[in-house]
Amino acid sequence: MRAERLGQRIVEFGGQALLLLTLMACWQAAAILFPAPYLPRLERIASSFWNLIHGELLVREVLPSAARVGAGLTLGIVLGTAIGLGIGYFRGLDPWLRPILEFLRALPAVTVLPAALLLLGSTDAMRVSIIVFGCMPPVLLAAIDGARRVDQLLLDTARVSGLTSAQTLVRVIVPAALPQVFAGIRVALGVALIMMVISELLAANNGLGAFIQRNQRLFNTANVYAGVLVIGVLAWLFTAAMLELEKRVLRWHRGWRGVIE
Amino acid sequence: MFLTDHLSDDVTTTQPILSVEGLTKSYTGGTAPVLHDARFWQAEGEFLAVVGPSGCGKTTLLRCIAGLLKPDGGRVLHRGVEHMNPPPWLSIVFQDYNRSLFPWLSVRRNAGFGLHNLNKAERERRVGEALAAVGLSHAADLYPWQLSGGMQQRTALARSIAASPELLLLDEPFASVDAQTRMDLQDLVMRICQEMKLATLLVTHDIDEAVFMADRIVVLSSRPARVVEDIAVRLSRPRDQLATKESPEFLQLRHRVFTAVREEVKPRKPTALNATSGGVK
Amino acid sequence: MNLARALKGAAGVAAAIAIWETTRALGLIDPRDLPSVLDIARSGVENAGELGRAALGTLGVWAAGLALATVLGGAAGIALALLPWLERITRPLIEFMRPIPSVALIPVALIVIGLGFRMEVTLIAFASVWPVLFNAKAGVENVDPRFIETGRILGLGRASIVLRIVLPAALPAMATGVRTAAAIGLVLAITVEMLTGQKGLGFFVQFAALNGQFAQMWAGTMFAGLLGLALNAIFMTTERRVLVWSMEHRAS
Repeated sequence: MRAERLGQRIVEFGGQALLLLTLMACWQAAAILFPAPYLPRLERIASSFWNLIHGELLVREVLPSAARVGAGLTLGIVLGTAIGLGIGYFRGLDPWLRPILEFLRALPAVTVLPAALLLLGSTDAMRVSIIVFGCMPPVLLAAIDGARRVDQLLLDTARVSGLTSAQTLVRVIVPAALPQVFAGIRVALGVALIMMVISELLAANNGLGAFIQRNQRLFNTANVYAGVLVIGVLAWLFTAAMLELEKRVLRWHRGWRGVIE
Repeated sequence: MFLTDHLSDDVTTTQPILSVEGLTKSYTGGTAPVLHDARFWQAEGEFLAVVGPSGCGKTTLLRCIAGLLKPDGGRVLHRGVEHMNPPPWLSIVFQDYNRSLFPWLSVRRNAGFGLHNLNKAERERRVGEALAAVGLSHAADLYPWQLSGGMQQRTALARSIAASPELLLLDEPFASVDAQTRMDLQDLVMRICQEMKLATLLVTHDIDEAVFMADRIVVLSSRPARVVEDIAVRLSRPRDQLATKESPEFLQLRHRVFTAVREEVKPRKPTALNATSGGVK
Repeated sequence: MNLARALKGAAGVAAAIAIWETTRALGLIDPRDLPSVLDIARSGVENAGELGRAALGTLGVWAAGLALATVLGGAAGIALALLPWLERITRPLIEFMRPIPSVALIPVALIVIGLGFRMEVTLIAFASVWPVLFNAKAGVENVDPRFIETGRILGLGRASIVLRIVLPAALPAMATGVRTAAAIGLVLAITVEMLTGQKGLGFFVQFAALNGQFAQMWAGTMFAGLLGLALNAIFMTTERRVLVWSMEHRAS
């Protein structure tokens, strides 16, 4: 039985490797046979990639991008969760704020970039702000939803146990709404990365977005591809970190959902 | 033992622990009356069962008694006092245990949920005793999703008694478990209530259960509910699932309660009250 | 939506406007950078024609890209769900492409295809494919097995089961995917316009900003938000009508 599964795994791995290698071989062959500016050889992309992930370039281009996403995402999550849980708990607030919240959700954050640039200049404050502006609404709306969906029986139990409103908010509503909040955080992560790239493409002189923009203008395509790959790696790292956090914080939720479904 | 800490040596109060006076409640602005002039009382340490036809408003009544719902008319007195909020010596066990247990807390933490005002040592002592009383000491570090239905309900029970209540409300607590578990839980609840000398109010649709467990049974009419019968249950304790349920006294009481409830389910001739409530099914 | 809710919502918007004006009045933000709401509204009305044309420019590429993505992503997602071996082999490739934010590919698209409508549509399609694909795949995978069993018992062949049971059952999930893709596509279209000067809402806002016409810039931004709301409303209404039987779309 185990040998069979191992055999399957090997075939699977083989198939995947074959596909990837074939694609890479096609690329390389095309790069050699039909040289074109948009088709650099793989080794050039690899060397650009390598340059980007260590040394001076790492510090100058990669770290600022990572820092901006980190800062913007953290701020957006904290603000979104706090405000959202509050609005969700004080149910009366929702009708007043709904139109504004829906507007902010529907507004493509990129359209605010020129305004942000105007108000804050080409600064990191502007870039982080636009990231926050983009990634806060999903978290906020998810937090509102999560707080409102807390089971009445849990709230009743809290009341009969003599908890004050503040205690109920912290000890019942926050944990109960957390699964929903994390769903919002997943969306926020995607938006934060997008806003980071956009703000750097349009209004920055360092960072990965600026890097690929600059190299595109100079037709250094290997650098462009390498830059995109590094952005992908950065995105993957952030996603993995978030999933790990979610797994730990919501360990109880996965088991619970498995039971009641 | 903390479970009986709350009792003074001299238990001669004649004040009922609970007094429901003319309780009236309707939903949607008065067009759907649920309770109308419900009144009864409960003595200290008494096991009271409330039965009635399905959907007659038993749960609404319980929520009003628990202080979770404000009645439209009448009042609920806990030891002669009208409380704004649930009094601290009142505990409740809901029917849907999988909706009232906190899924992110272990059994131990769930049981200790209402004890946040105590210091750690005292809290741990009470939780330990409560878990031992319901037989969950071995499962203290498990989470609700790892428990069976019966164990979840016992966790909810442990949570209620850890708070050292004097009045325990049970809202159809055994309706969601299988028959075997139900009998075990019934025995457990009775034993704990007897040991702790708890006043217990059990809302149930199961007439056998009501007669088996209670000292007194209050029968509600269908909507809008009021009390139509108040029946004393003079079966000896401790009660046994087999012996008690086969005794002639049990069968007589069962017959009496069953008939009373069935009367309420049958369509009645329209009265002035029925007319305003849009008829009775 | 009842009257009380609508009034409260309107009051909320009024309060937001009041905060805006107060911020101006107190000089917290330079009033020249933050035109009054009245000026913005006026600018919007004055430039209504141009705004409309800009919107059409953006929506044109957006719709084309989205349509392409829906067809390709839907087909691919369904194929991956129905052919496990295909899913397994392509998994590393897809997981590799998945985290890359599509906006990062704008410079790549510029190099490979150059400026123009074709580049924009290709890029929007490429970016929009992923949500459609993953939702379609998940939709097919999560079809209640009892539906399929029913089909088998009734003697339906494999193709029939797919066409008559699996696809309709997966439709709600696919609809959600398309809705998500629509939002992404819009962001992408506007970004490309800002970056390359293609005509559209992004260009409108950018151009106004560069020329110091701030009321116009804000008008464009607000208009974009309203457009987003309108598109979302259209999607939700269409979904609700077409998928009226779906449980996800009932009761909300």
